[in-house]
Amino acid sequence: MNLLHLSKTIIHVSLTFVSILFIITGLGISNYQLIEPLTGGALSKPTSFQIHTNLLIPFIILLSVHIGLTLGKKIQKKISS
Amino acid sequence: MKKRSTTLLLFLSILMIFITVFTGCFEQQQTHLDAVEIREYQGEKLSAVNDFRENSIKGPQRINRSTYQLKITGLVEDQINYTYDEVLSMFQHYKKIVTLDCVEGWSVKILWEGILVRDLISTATPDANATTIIFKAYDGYTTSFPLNYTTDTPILLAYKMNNATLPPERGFPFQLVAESKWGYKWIKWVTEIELADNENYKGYWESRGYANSGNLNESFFEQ
Repeated sequence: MNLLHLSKTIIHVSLTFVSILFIITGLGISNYQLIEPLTGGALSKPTSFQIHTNLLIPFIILLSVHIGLTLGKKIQKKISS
Repeated sequence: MKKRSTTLLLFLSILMIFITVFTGCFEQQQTHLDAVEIREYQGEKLSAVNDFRENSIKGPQRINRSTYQLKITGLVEDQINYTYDEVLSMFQHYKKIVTLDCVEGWSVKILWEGILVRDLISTATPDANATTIIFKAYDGYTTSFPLNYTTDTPILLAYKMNNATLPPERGFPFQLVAESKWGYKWIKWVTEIELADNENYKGYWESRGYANSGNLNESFFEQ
Protein backbone atom coordinates (compact mmCIF):
# COMPACT_ATOMS: atom_id res chain seq x y z
CA MET A 1 0.00 0.00 0.00
CA ASN A 2 2.85 2.31 0.92
CA LEU A 3 4.63 1.40 -2.29
CA LEU A 4 1.51 2.23 -4.33
CA HIS A 5 1.17 5.54 -2.52
CA LEU A 6 4.84 6.32 -3.17
CA SER A 7 4.47 5.43 -6.86
CA LYS A 8 1.44 7.69 -7.14
CA THR A 9 3.31 10.57 -5.52
CA ILE A 10 6.29 10.07 -7.85
CA ILE A 11 3.96 10.01 -10.89
CA HIS A 12 2.09 13.14 -9.82
CA VAL A 13 5.21 15.11 -8.92
CA SER A 14 6.95 14.00 -12.15
CA LEU A 15 3.92 14.99 -14.21
CA THR A 16 3.83 18.41 -12.57
CA PHE A 17 7.54 18.90 -13.21
CA VAL A 18 7.35 17.66 -16.82
CA SER A 19 4.24 19.78 -17.51
CA ILE A 20 5.92 22.95 -16.24
CA LEU A 21 9.08 22.20 -18.22
CA PHE A 22 6.97 21.41 -21.30
CA ILE A 23 5.24 24.81 -21.05
CA ILE A 24 8.46 26.74 -20.38
CA THR A 25 10.31 25.10 -23.28
CA GLY A 26 7.28 25.74 -25.49
CA LEU A 27 7.54 29.40 -24.58
CA GLY A 28 11.28 29.12 -25.18
CA ILE A 29 10.46 28.30 -28.80
CA SER A 30 7.73 30.84 -29.50
CA ASN A 31 8.99 33.62 -27.19
CA TYR A 32 12.71 32.96 -27.16
CA GLN A 33 13.46 36.69 -27.08
CA LEU A 34 11.97 36.71 -23.55
CA ILE A 35 12.80 33.25 -22.18
CA GLU A 36 16.49 33.20 -23.20
CA PRO A 37 17.47 36.30 -21.17
CA LEU A 38 15.18 35.26 -18.30
CA THR A 39 17.03 31.94 -17.97
CA GLY A 40 20.43 33.56 -18.34
CA GLY A 41 20.91 32.07 -21.79
CA ALA A 42 20.42 28.50 -20.52
CA LEU A 43 17.18 28.01 -22.43
CA SER A 44 17.97 29.16 -25.95
CA LYS A 45 15.59 28.44 -28.82
CA PRO A 46 17.49 25.37 -30.10
CA THR A 47 17.84 23.99 -26.54
CA SER A 48 14.14 24.58 -25.92
CA PHE A 49 13.36 22.73 -29.14
CA GLN A 50 15.48 19.75 -28.12
CA ILE A 51 13.99 19.53 -24.61
CA HIS A 52 10.43 20.16 -25.80
CA THR A 53 10.67 17.46 -28.49
CA ASN A 54 12.25 14.93 -26.12
CA LEU A 55 9.67 15.63 -23.42
CA LEU A 56 6.64 14.79 -25.53
CA ILE A 57 6.70 11.00 -25.03
CA PRO A 58 7.48 11.11 -21.26
CA PHE A 59 4.69 13.70 -20.89
CA ILE A 60 2.15 11.47 -22.67
CA ILE A 61 3.20 8.39 -20.64
CA LEU A 62 3.03 10.24 -17.31
CA LEU A 63 -0.30 11.82 -18.20
CA SER A 64 -1.77 8.44 -19.19
CA VAL A 65 -0.57 6.80 -15.97
CA HIS A 66 -1.88 9.74 -13.96
CA ILE A 67 -5.32 9.50 -15.63
CA GLY A 68 -5.29 5.71 -15.18
CA LEU A 69 -4.50 5.97 -11.48
CA THR A 70 -7.14 8.64 -10.87
CA LEU A 71 -9.86 6.78 -12.78
CA GLY A 72 -8.87 3.48 -11.12
CA LYS A 73 -9.25 5.06 -7.72
CA LYS A 74 -12.70 6.43 -8.62
CA ILE A 75 -13.88 3.09 -10.02
CA GLN A 76 -12.61 1.30 -6.90
CA LYS A 77 -14.53 3.75 -4.70
CA LYS A 78 -17.74 3.21 -6.67
CA ILE A 79 -17.44 -0.57 -6.42
CA SER A 80 -16.78 -0.48 -2.70
CA SER A 81 -19.70 1.89 -2.04
CA MET B 1 -39.85 76.90 -45.01
CA LYS B 2 -38.51 78.13 -48.32
CA LYS B 3 -35.83 80.15 -46.48
CA ARG B 4 -34.72 77.04 -44.56
CA SER B 5 -34.41 75.04 -47.77
CA THR B 6 -32.35 77.81 -49.37
CA THR B 7 -30.04 77.94 -46.33
CA LEU B 8 -29.63 74.16 -46.39
CA LEU B 9 -28.92 74.23 -50.13
CA LEU B 10 -26.38 77.02 -49.62
CA PHE B 11 -24.70 75.07 -46.79
CA LEU B 12 -24.49 71.91 -48.91
CA SER B 13 -23.06 73.88 -51.83
CA ILE B 14 -20.35 75.38 -49.62
CA LEU B 15 -19.62 71.90 -48.20
CA MET B 16 -19.30 70.48 -51.73
CA ILE B 17 -16.91 73.29 -52.72
CA PHE B 18 -14.78 72.60 -49.63
CA ILE B 19 -14.70 68.87 -50.35
CA THR B 20 -13.76 69.49 -53.99
CA VAL B 21 -11.01 71.97 -53.06
CA PHE B 22 -9.55 69.75 -50.33
CA THR B 23 -9.71 66.65 -52.52
CA GLY B 24 -7.81 68.64 -55.13
CA CYS B 25 -5.17 69.54 -52.54
CA PHE B 26 -4.80 65.92 -51.50
CA GLU B 27 -4.54 64.79 -55.10
CA GLN B 28 -1.57 67.10 -55.58
CA GLN B 29 0.21 65.54 -52.59
CA GLN B 30 -0.73 61.97 -53.31
CA THR B 31 1.92 59.31 -53.28
CA HIS B 32 1.89 56.11 -55.22
CA LEU B 33 0.14 53.44 -53.20
CA ASP B 34 1.14 49.85 -53.59
CA ALA B 35 -1.16 47.16 -54.95
CA VAL B 36 -3.44 45.45 -52.46
CA GLU B 37 -2.36 42.02 -51.32
CA ILE B 38 -3.84 39.20 -53.36
CA ARG B 39 -5.02 35.93 -51.80
CA GLU B 40 -5.32 33.80 -54.92
CA TYR B 41 -3.02 33.40 -57.91
CA GLN B 42 -3.79 31.33 -60.99
CA GLY B 43 -6.37 29.35 -59.04
CA GLU B 44 -4.08 28.69 -56.09
CA LYS B 45 -5.08 29.93 -52.65
CA LEU B 46 -2.39 31.98 -50.90
CA SER B 47 -1.71 32.68 -47.26
CA ALA B 48 -1.99 36.24 -45.96
CA VAL B 49 0.96 38.52 -45.20
CA ASN B 50 -0.32 38.57 -41.61
CA ASP B 51 -0.18 34.78 -41.32
CA PHE B 52 3.55 35.02 -40.54
CA ARG B 53 4.63 34.93 -36.91
CA GLU B 54 7.12 37.51 -35.78
CA ASN B 55 10.22 35.59 -34.66
CA SER B 56 13.13 37.71 -35.83
CA ILE B 57 16.13 38.17 -33.55
CA LYS B 58 15.70 41.90 -32.94
CA GLY B 59 12.15 42.59 -34.06
CA PRO B 60 11.06 44.28 -37.30
CA GLN B 61 13.68 46.56 -38.87
CA ARG B 62 12.79 49.80 -40.61
CA ILE B 63 15.10 50.55 -43.51
CA ASN B 64 15.12 53.87 -45.34
CA ARG B 65 14.54 53.19 -49.01
CA SER B 66 16.45 56.29 -50.15
CA THR B 67 19.64 55.46 -48.23
CA TYR B 68 19.50 51.69 -48.60
CA GLN B 69 22.43 49.94 -50.28
CA LEU B 70 22.78 46.29 -51.20
CA LYS B 71 26.45 45.35 -51.14
CA ILE B 72 28.03 42.46 -52.98
CA THR B 73 31.36 41.75 -51.37
CA GLY B 74 33.99 39.09 -50.73
CA LEU B 75 35.48 36.92 -53.44
CA VAL B 76 34.27 38.94 -56.42
CA GLU B 77 36.12 40.87 -59.08
CA ASP B 78 34.01 44.00 -58.60
CA GLN B 79 32.52 44.87 -55.25
CA ILE B 80 29.20 46.51 -56.06
CA ASN B 81 26.72 48.62 -54.13
CA TYR B 82 23.20 48.81 -55.49
CA THR B 83 20.43 51.13 -54.41
CA TYR B 84 16.93 49.75 -54.00
CA ASP B 85 15.77 51.32 -57.26
CA GLU B 86 18.81 50.03 -59.14
CA VAL B 87 18.10 46.46 -58.04
CA LEU B 88 14.52 46.78 -59.21
CA SER B 89 15.35 48.42 -62.51
CA MET B 90 18.48 46.54 -63.59
CA PHE B 91 17.35 42.94 -63.29
CA GLN B 92 14.60 40.82 -64.73
CA HIS B 93 11.66 40.22 -62.40
CA TYR B 94 10.21 36.80 -61.62
CA LYS B 95 7.12 35.55 -59.81
CA LYS B 96 6.83 32.27 -58.01
CA ILE B 97 4.59 30.63 -55.39
CA VAL B 98 6.76 29.15 -52.66
CA THR B 99 5.80 27.86 -49.21
CA LEU B 100 7.85 28.90 -46.20
CA ASP B 101 8.02 26.20 -43.54
CA CYS B 102 9.11 27.42 -40.14
CA VAL B 103 10.79 25.10 -37.63
CA GLU B 104 8.14 26.29 -35.14
CA GLY B 105 5.57 24.26 -37.05
CA TRP B 106 3.68 26.87 -39.08
CA SER B 107 3.88 27.47 -42.81
CA VAL B 108 2.72 30.08 -45.34
CA LYS B 109 2.17 29.83 -49.07
CA ILE B 110 3.04 33.13 -50.72
CA LEU B 111 3.39 34.52 -54.23
CA TRP B 112 6.87 36.02 -54.25
CA GLU B 113 8.15 38.54 -56.76
CA GLY B 114 11.81 39.32 -57.02
CA ILE B 115 15.04 39.04 -58.91
CA LEU B 116 17.29 36.04 -59.22
CA VAL B 117 20.24 35.90 -56.84
CA ARG B 118 22.41 34.44 -59.60
CA ASP B 119 21.65 37.45 -61.86
CA LEU B 120 22.63 39.77 -59.05
CA ILE B 121 25.92 38.11 -58.16
CA SER B 122 26.95 37.54 -61.77
CA THR B 123 27.28 41.30 -62.20
CA ALA B 124 30.06 41.29 -59.60
CA THR B 125 31.86 38.39 -61.36
CA PRO B 126 32.43 35.79 -58.63
CA ASP B 127 35.95 34.51 -58.07
CA ALA B 128 36.60 30.87 -59.03
CA ASN B 129 37.54 30.13 -55.41
CA ALA B 130 34.16 31.22 -54.07
CA THR B 131 32.22 28.25 -52.69
CA THR B 132 29.87 29.84 -50.19
CA ILE B 133 27.35 32.63 -50.35
CA ILE B 134 26.72 34.49 -47.11
CA PHE B 135 23.68 36.72 -46.68
CA LYS B 136 23.82 39.46 -44.07
CA ALA B 137 20.90 41.44 -42.71
CA TYR B 138 20.37 44.87 -41.24
CA ASP B 139 19.77 43.42 -37.75
CA GLY B 140 23.00 41.40 -37.74
CA TYR B 141 21.35 38.13 -38.76
CA THR B 142 23.36 35.97 -41.17
CA THR B 143 22.92 32.71 -43.03
CA SER B 144 24.86 30.91 -45.73
CA PHE B 145 24.48 28.41 -48.56
CA PRO B 146 26.80 26.56 -50.90
CA LEU B 147 27.26 28.91 -53.86
CA ASN B 148 25.83 26.37 -56.30
CA TYR B 149 22.49 26.49 -54.44
CA THR B 150 21.96 29.98 -55.82
CA THR B 151 23.65 29.48 -59.18
CA ASP B 152 22.08 26.13 -60.14
CA THR B 153 18.55 26.95 -58.97
CA PRO B 154 16.46 30.07 -59.60
CA ILE B 155 16.51 31.44 -56.06
CA LEU B 156 14.63 34.71 -55.62
CA LEU B 157 15.55 37.77 -53.67
CA ALA B 158 12.02 39.03 -53.17
CA TYR B 159 10.78 42.59 -52.91
CA LYS B 160 7.07 41.79 -53.17
CA MET B 161 4.81 39.25 -51.58
CA ASN B 162 1.25 38.58 -52.78
CA ASN B 163 1.66 41.51 -55.19
CA ALA B 164 2.40 44.05 -52.44
CA THR B 165 5.79 45.49 -51.55
CA LEU B 166 7.30 43.73 -48.54
CA PRO B 167 6.25 45.52 -45.37
CA PRO B 168 9.05 46.25 -42.82
CA GLU B 169 7.81 43.36 -40.65
CA ARG B 170 8.35 40.96 -43.54
CA GLY B 171 11.81 42.09 -44.52
CA PHE B 172 11.64 45.25 -46.62
CA PRO B 173 13.53 45.84 -48.84
CA PHE B 174 14.54 42.25 -49.64
CA GLN B 175 13.84 38.79 -48.32
CA LEU B 176 15.51 35.67 -49.60
CA VAL B 177 13.11 33.01 -50.88
CA ALA B 178 15.19 30.01 -49.89
CA GLU B 179 12.93 27.36 -51.35
CA SER B 180 13.33 23.79 -50.09
CA LYS B 181 15.00 25.19 -46.96
CA TRP B 182 13.69 25.72 -43.42
CA GLY B 183 12.41 29.19 -42.56
CA TYR B 184 15.57 30.26 -40.68
CA LYS B 185 17.34 30.28 -44.06
CA TRP B 186 14.87 32.84 -45.43
CA ILE B 187 16.83 35.89 -44.33
CA LYS B 188 14.98 39.23 -44.20
CA TRP B 189 16.26 42.81 -44.45
CA VAL B 190 19.19 41.70 -46.66
CA THR B 191 21.90 44.35 -46.86
CA GLU B 192 24.95 42.39 -47.97
CA ILE B 193 25.80 39.33 -50.02
CA GLU B 194 29.31 38.05 -49.44
CA LEU B 195 31.00 35.36 -51.46
CA ALA B 196 33.53 33.33 -49.52
CA ASP B 197 35.59 30.14 -49.64
CA ASN B 198 34.64 29.09 -46.10
CA GLU B 199 32.29 26.13 -46.49
CA ASN B 200 32.01 25.79 -42.73
CA TYR B 201 30.67 29.30 -42.20
CA LYS B 202 27.78 29.23 -39.75
CA GLY B 203 25.07 31.85 -39.60
CA TYR B 204 23.10 33.09 -36.59
CA TRP B 205 20.96 30.02 -35.86
CA GLU B 206 23.41 27.60 -37.42
CA SER B 207 26.04 28.59 -34.84
CA ARG B 208 23.42 27.91 -32.15
CA GLY B 209 22.72 24.31 -33.14
CA TYR B 210 20.59 24.43 -36.28
CA ALA B 211 21.71 22.49 -39.34
CA ASN B 212 23.86 24.44 -41.78
CA SER B 213 22.19 22.80 -44.78
CA GLY B 214 18.70 23.72 -43.57
CA ASN B 215 17.16 21.25 -46.00
CA LEU B 216 13.42 20.79 -45.55
CA ASN B 217 13.65 17.01 -45.96
CA GLU B 218 16.15 16.76 -43.09
CA SER B 219 16.03 17.57 -39.39
CA PHE B 220 16.81 21.19 -38.60
CA PHE B 221 19.01 20.11 -35.71
CA GLU B 222 22.70 19.69 -36.42
CA GLN B 223 23.27 15.92 -36.71
